[in-house]
Amino acid sequence: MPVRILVVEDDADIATVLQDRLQALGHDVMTVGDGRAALDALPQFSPGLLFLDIELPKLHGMEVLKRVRKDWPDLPVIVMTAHGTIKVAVEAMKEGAADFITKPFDTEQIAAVIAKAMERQELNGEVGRLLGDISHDIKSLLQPVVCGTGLLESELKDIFHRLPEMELVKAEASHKLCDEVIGMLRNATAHIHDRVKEIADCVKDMSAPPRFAPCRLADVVDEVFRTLRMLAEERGVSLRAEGLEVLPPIQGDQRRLFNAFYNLVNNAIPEVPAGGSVTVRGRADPASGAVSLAVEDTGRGMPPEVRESLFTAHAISRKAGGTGLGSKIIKDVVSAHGGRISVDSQEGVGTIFHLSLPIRQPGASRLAEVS
Amino acid sequence: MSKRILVVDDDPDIRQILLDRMSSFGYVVETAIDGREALDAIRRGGFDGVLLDLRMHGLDGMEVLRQARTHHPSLPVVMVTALSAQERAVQAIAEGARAYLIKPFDSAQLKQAAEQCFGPAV
Repeated sequence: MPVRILVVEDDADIATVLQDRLQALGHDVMTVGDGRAALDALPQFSPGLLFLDIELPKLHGMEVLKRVRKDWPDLPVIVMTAHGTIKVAVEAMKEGAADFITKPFDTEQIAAVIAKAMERQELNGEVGRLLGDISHDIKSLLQPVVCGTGLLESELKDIFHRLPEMELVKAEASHKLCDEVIGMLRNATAHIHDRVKEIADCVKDMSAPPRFAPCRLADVVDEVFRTLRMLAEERGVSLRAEGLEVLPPIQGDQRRLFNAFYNLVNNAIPEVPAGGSVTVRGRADPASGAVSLAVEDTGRGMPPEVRESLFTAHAISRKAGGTGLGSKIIKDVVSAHGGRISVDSQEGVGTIFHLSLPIRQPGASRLAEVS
Repeated sequence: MSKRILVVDDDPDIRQILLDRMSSFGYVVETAIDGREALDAIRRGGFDGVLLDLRMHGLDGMEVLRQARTHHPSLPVVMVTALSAQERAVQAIAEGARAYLIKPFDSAQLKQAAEQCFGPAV
């Protein structure tokens, strides 16, 4: 992938060679000859990578590095040092340089150091995006906790207020409501816990392999609907399930399937105008040993560029503060189950996600299915 | 027939870049590694232009330019120079160089200078 690279090098011969090599590798290059010019060039050129000579006139390379780290913390800096000045390179790494390269350098060495820096950059971006997505989800998952707490508070206040002349029937109804709300709080808290655990897994790059067990999709979708009911009601969107009760149980990872359907429904709700609906429809497909599911909304549909970016880490989000990573989570869950997902969308009509999930997992034992 | 260009630079990497780029534009390129080799080649003749590094060890680019101008006044010479030596480059123009190219240059800048001063490759 081409990268915009700013080269800061006062030796014209070295600058020429480096610029030529970088351009030959397909990158977009700008070269300046001193530290001050580098700091001036940063805002207009906005590079994705900086090659910085340490021995610079006007402003020393180490000083440029410090200022870049402060004002452009996301910009990876590769420091260029003369042969035998490893001490300088170490010092630069301590100041936050992404890597260093020793002059004279060959094309392979240049390509390798760029690839390494960009890979790390991408990983950082991915983690950042994922954290953004997760914190957003945590916020929406917290919604029922916040609402529920308010309800609980006013309900209890009411009870205390009426305590002297309280009737038995009234007390029973209140008690039941309190129980329900507390149940909802517990449920939501458990989901928050799960999501936070995912943050940890993701950062450590060790999300656990899926654990397959017999799983009723009707239960999964029901749980998703319960979690999102308030959000949907607020927006006047009805959530419907059709044909899920009669589906055969599939071997699945219930927690991940919850995540997938949660993201599908949660993404759909804001797209649907009041009075519309989000429907999860199921159909057994015995011939292929799979179940077919459709998540259909009566929303505004997706423009082609959004549709094409779906299921990638670079998916385009249309939610405020959204990261677009939800669709990648969905795709990952479906893939982990050996399933397939596709999308039909028509602008102004709505969007349908088609999922096919195998009933049996090749590796899973029959025993697990029976128990 | 393709135009023949002499590339003179004492830095092997820059020489290689000039050779590769100029060849890719269609010029036939010969190289000289210093001023003395350059003057020998120019004396043998047959060139349509010279790309000449201004600052070289031994016989300097400016001196090569002067001698070339004396013996082959119609041979177009383009000086290659660092930005920090721009003043000397201007002086080279006064001495009869057709143009100067500032390092680092990119492929498009080189091509433009070459075509402007030497004419199209073929």
